[in-house]
Amino acid sequence: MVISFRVNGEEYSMDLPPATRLIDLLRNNLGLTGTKEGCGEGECGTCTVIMDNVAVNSCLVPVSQIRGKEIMTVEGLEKNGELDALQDSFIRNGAVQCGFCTPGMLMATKALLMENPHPDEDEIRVAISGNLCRCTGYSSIINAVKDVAK
Amino acid sequence: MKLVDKLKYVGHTYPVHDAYQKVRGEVVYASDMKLRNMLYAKLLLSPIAHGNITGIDISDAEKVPGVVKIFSHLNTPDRRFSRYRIIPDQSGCPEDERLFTDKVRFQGDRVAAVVARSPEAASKAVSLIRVKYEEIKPLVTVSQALEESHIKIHDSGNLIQEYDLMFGDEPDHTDNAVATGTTTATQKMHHAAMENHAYTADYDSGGKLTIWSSCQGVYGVRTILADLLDISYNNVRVIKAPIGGSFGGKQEAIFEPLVAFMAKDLRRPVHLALDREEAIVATMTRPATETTIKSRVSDDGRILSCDLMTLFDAGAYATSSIDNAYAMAKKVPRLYRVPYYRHRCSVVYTNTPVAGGTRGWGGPEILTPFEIHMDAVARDLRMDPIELRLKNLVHPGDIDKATGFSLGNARIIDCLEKGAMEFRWKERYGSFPGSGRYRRGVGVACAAHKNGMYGGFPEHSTMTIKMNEDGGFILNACLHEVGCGTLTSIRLIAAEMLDVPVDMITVSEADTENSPYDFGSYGSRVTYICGECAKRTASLVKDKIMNCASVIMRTPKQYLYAENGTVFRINGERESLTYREIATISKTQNNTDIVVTHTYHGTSNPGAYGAHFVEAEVDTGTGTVRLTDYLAVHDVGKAINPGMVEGQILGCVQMGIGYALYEEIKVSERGRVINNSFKNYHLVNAPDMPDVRVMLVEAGGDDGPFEAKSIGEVATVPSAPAVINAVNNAIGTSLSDMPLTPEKIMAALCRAETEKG
Amino acid sequence: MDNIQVMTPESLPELVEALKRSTFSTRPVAGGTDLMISLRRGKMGCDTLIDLSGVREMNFIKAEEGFISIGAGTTFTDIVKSEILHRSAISLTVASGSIGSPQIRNRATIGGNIANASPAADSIPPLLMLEAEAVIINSKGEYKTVPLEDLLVDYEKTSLNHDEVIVSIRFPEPGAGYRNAFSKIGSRKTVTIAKLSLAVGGYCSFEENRLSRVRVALGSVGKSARRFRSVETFLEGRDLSSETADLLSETLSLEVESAISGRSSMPYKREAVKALAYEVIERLIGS
Repeated sequence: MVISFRVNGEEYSMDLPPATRLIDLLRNNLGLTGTKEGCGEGECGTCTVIMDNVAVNSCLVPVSQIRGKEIMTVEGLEKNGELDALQDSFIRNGAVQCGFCTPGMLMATKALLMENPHPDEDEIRVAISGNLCRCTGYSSIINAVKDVAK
Repeated sequence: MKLVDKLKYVGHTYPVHDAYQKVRGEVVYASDMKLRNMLYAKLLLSPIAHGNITGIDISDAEKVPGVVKIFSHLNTPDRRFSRYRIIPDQSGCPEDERLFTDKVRFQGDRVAAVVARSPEAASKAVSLIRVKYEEIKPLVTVSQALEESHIKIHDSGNLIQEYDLMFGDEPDHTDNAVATGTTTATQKMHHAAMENHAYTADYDSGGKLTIWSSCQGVYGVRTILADLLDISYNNVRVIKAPIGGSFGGKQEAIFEPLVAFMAKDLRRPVHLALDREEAIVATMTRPATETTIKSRVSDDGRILSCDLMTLFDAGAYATSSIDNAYAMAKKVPRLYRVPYYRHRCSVVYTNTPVAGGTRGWGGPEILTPFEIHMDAVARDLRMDPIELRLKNLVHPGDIDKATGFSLGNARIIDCLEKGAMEFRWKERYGSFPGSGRYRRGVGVACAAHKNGMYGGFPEHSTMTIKMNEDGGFILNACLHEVGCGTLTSIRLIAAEMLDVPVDMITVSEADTENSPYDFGSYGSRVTYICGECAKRTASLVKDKIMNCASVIMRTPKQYLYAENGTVFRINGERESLTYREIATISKTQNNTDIVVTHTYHGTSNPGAYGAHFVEAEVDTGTGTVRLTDYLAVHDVGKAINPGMVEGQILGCVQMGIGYALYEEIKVSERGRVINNSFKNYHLVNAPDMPDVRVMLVEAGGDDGPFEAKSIGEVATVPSAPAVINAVNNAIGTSLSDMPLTPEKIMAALCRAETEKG
Repeated sequence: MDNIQVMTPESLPELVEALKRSTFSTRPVAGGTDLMISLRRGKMGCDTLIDLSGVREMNFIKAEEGFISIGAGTTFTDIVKSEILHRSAISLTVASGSIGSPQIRNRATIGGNIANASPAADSIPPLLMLEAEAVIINSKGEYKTVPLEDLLVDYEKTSLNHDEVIVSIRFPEPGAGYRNAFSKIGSRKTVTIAKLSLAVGGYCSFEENRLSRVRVALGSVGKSARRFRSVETFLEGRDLSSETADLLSETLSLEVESAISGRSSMPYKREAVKALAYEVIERLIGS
């Protein structure tokens, strides 16, 4: 099936098996390995990307459903060589340890901030409730988002 | 003023070294690796827990387009190995597994693997392999394995090892002693690193094997691979790939031998990346244990004797279980002054997922039962649990009964006293838990851990520091960054010693071909041993720089001092040479290279300590628990990178709460893993994570760099017992069957209700 | 998954055309949050998918002709945000908000949740309580309306034929004095499958404080979520009070005990359902 879509502002039109998972398209076909796979069933959130302004688990999206959609991955956060404020805040707050959950955390919280620029702590916690982290105990991640949400 | 009071880099917070690359998604993790011409492996794991393989039919699987080769016990050597061994001829490492088994011993045992040109083809082919099993009754608990010993999981029998260790002299019978007995069961737990295990191996035409592994110790992997595959060590190159977390789960060479063998056999790169189900079932778990503790305590609260008996479930293969079980016996004497301590333990095979080292290395498995026991003693004595602990905790300078070495500047009493003040323990402990649906209680627990392996194992590290022409440095070490900020800590230590900005120092990671020797990232040894090695190596480099400066400036060394990358002459007219000038002139004019290789060997192993304080709210309607306050206090000697120390503590607490309340790999009577997915194996997520306050006791006094001690493991030890003690305090129970699920809490409440009548 | 075909109808007429080609190994996919997992595990003999996500007429929430209708393709995020539902069926709003994570709610649809027929599906108890019906289209373009109760036939099993798809869910628009509430227990606060869930709705004016036309549904008790009519009868005519909460908790406890007697989960659920009873009555009083 020929599918047209945009990833990080770039237009693509590709012939793909339509049940291919979005995560496999991103990682294997487009080489965007910033999007990680931790469970393959929408429980860990490491594969989170933003599709038409909302966070989705890219491991659960068949590419037949990205027709005409705009997808943003962690590689698309930076603009003109400058980190997004959220990326910078993650670094400053020590929210990055092993870093494997980081892309998913960034995309889940970016989606939150796009919809709600001033979330409170509970809203931040809910926004990352589907993103697991074994390193940080979440607190530095929550602080990083709070810093940007001020 | 002490040196540590005017530090420029050490003691200040820095991000992990590659945080910038990580937020951009550009770090190529083990699971992201791709080599030219690479093949993909997919495992066929046993669906049953115990049985002999009587037939493997690959005729349909072979026909799948893209399949290159199918491996099983039929076409691989039956040479046995231990995945845990890290040095040649290591004792306590039974060689009880082979690449592919002909007899499956747990659900998840390695039966076959397909190597194909695409992951899809490999998966498809695996689903088409037909295996015939002759089932044997699975033995899924330790007691079952001991009782039904005629069913042998391994030819050697089901009992792997027994020990009976005694420290101190058995006391005379004391009349006014209170005897208390408790039994605590700890469960199998998944390490749950966010990245599953991944490996890429290549074998070139020159006969060299290279493997990029998500491992915690490259030299351990090398000795296993080289000896197993009969390749000389110089022809095995193990490179530690960027890792998305480990927590001990990547400490052993679980799948490296397999991937290396397949690459060597096919002479092509082979990549294996596990999925979550495979990681839960087929890698390693925190060992399940059951410990019965009998203590005698004087009526004024002094421990007289402790007698412990542990059943240790090793799972289907021995791996690290013998050492892990021994480690358990040595924890309590590091924490409490116990005049007579006896610990008996049986390490036993079962037909369940394989046990292995997990953050805390025996600490959570034994100190959780012990700290639950201490609360039981306090109840029996009607004594405040903190008062009881204060009477028995070790003091600075105490000798560790188990090893005969000093515990160093052991500041657990400080931790407990400071924490109790901050937490307002006295006021909260006695307060009424409430009589409504929600009951509140508080709990405390203490923990001791170690700093490296000195006393039980060789303990040294080697590093090379090379000065570049521009005055910067390459610190060449065998380090394994697993998300703890190790590389940053080492950089801070070197920067402090050399007095140059942190970004002038590059620290390299483990690669057997380029790194000096080091054991790896475990045993709470990295900061204490590797950090001190970095400090000493940097100090030697600094000496060398001063020597070179002395020659160039024609001034005796004692008239020179260095500051900020520049060497000055004392009382001179600010005459100076920059590091750049020194390095360049030495290299280009004086035939001198500024480079030092140094081996540091540890000579001490002080205790690392912590005390956690928890307030828990129990919903007596549903049995669920909410943590409403949490304080972690740790004796770290000195925090090299305080932000990351805090990160380690918070991550440990996340794991500890999971251990206490949620996480358990459940195995059915048939030996099937019931919850092999994050859908039903729950980690603590953000909404359930309490705010954790952290206090550090930085009293220094030991041999680590800038007097620092370990933190990454010890901080998970007191977490679970503190939570459990808080729950028991809230609802007046003495629960000790972990984890405390809502079901167990409700059952206990119902029992209490019935007993009240 | 490489050889799975996908049909992508963009309108109801195109959906009918797709259903004409549907076989027993065809499966509709909406948000994909459950189906993609089953597909990958290879546990599903499926060669063709009908991707419903592009069907324009399946994404709406509206009140008309005495009914509230929700397009089957409506995501739980949209349901949670809906003013209409917040006003008239707060239990559905709350239940929908408790499903999975934000990422899941952004994709999972109400039609998919029903068609999966999990006994733990969070949206189903409130919908049963609301006496919802599924509007179903078949390969001939015919519509029929089936009460949700009749649609859920067994564990993860509906009465849907392979050439049928749910296009919308509707329930009678509640009138003045209607109150409803939902509560659930999982093993975590969020992102958790319900161990037990309860939805209660009925009419109760402030003046009379007497319940009428009560509907009660439980999730995760037995093979599929269902209404408990004896409990409904029991509540009929009672006032909203703490005494009623006491009585309801005892009644529900007995019901759960007999519904799943012999199961290992029974002793826990028998107790925990009492807490749900108190929560739900408290919410009804407060609404």
